[in-house]
Amino acid sequence: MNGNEITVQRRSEAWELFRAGLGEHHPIFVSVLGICSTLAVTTAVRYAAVMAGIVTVTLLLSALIVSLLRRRIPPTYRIITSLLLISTPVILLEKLLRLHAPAIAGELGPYVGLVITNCIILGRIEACASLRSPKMALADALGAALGYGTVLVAIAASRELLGTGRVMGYDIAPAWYPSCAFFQRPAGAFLALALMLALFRHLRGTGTKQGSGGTCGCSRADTPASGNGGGV
Amino acid sequence: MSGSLTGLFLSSVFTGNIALTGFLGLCPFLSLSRKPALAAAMGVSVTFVMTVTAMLNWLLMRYVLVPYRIEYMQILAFMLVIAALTQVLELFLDRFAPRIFAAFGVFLPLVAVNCAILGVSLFASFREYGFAETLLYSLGSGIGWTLAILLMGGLRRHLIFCRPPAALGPVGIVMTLASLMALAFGCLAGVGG
Repeated sequence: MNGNEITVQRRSEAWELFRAGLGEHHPIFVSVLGICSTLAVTTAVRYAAVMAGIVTVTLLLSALIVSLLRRRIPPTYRIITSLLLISTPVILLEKLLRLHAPAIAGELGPYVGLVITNCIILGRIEACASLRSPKMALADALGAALGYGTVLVAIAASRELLGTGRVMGYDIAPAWYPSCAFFQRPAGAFLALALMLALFRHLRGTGTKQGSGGTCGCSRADTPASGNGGGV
Repeated sequence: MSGSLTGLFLSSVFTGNIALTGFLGLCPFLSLSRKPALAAAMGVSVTFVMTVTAMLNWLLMRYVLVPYRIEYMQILAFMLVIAALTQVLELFLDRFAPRIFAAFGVFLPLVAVNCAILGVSLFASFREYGFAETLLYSLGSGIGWTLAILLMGGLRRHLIFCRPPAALGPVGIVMTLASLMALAFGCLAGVGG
């Protein structure tokens, strides 16, 4: 959300909100949100793609509903209402996944349910959807979801390639490649994210402001809860 | 799961560390590891709430959700238990143990939205642990999380002597350290049996 959003045209404002999710307010690299799932489900591209899809659908639906109801939700019960609204699509999507792709559902396990506590969703709802019109909320949510999804798939592709020599079942690496299993393991996940983060910051210039250790974006999502005396 | 309860406990502290291999509770892990005193207090709160909610959720799952065939309400029910417990604990401590409340009260609302708490309850149910297994798994996970955040705090204090690549930034370097710590914790495989 820019400071000059009042002066710019409505249409470009939605565009700006959308673009912020891919650049200056990138949910993973700048706000440092949703790290848990970013690391946990990126051992293979298909898991990452499923996860990105679930988060995108959940984020869009909950942002739309919160935005439509924003004048009716009392501020005191804001967080618990948002959590209930978020959990509805998550539970439905988990059921659908179990039904149609039981192998992937088994592999993702509890991480599907943990989408509810993915702070990107609560963060976007708190920062935008609970204040703005449905159109703006959707633009903002789409940007954040796209920023999250692309990074998730990119990390998964690099981890799958380096760790197994294959991507999506295709042999990419030459036969002499030793398949460095390190990248399939948790330690490799942390390193892959750190390197991806360094690349992002290098491309945007290292001056990019970042939710540094002290101001981790999640504490922003936490603050309203503590303000309500733990209203979650 | 391996039959040995000791093994389960040890593996949940080390090789299956909830922060370093389960990637849960990473937000406070990143933000609080700079301040060891806060990290220790947060660790105690997380361990306590994690163990108690995992037990309550196990009972809830066993005696309410499964008999009435409403397992799909699991996530919602677990979250309500966690939120209610932290709220009740906050009131209770404020009333009866003001000194403990002064030390840990601020962390309770933060604990309520910590994904590690919900994650441990979900993992215990997903792996179909029994009561004793759930107890040891949740206790071990809490201790492991506290250990990881304290160790990270120690490592970060040494960063003032180093000049990490500027592109990594404050978060990137912690991620890199976490990668090395995960590697070290992973090498303890076999301790858990």
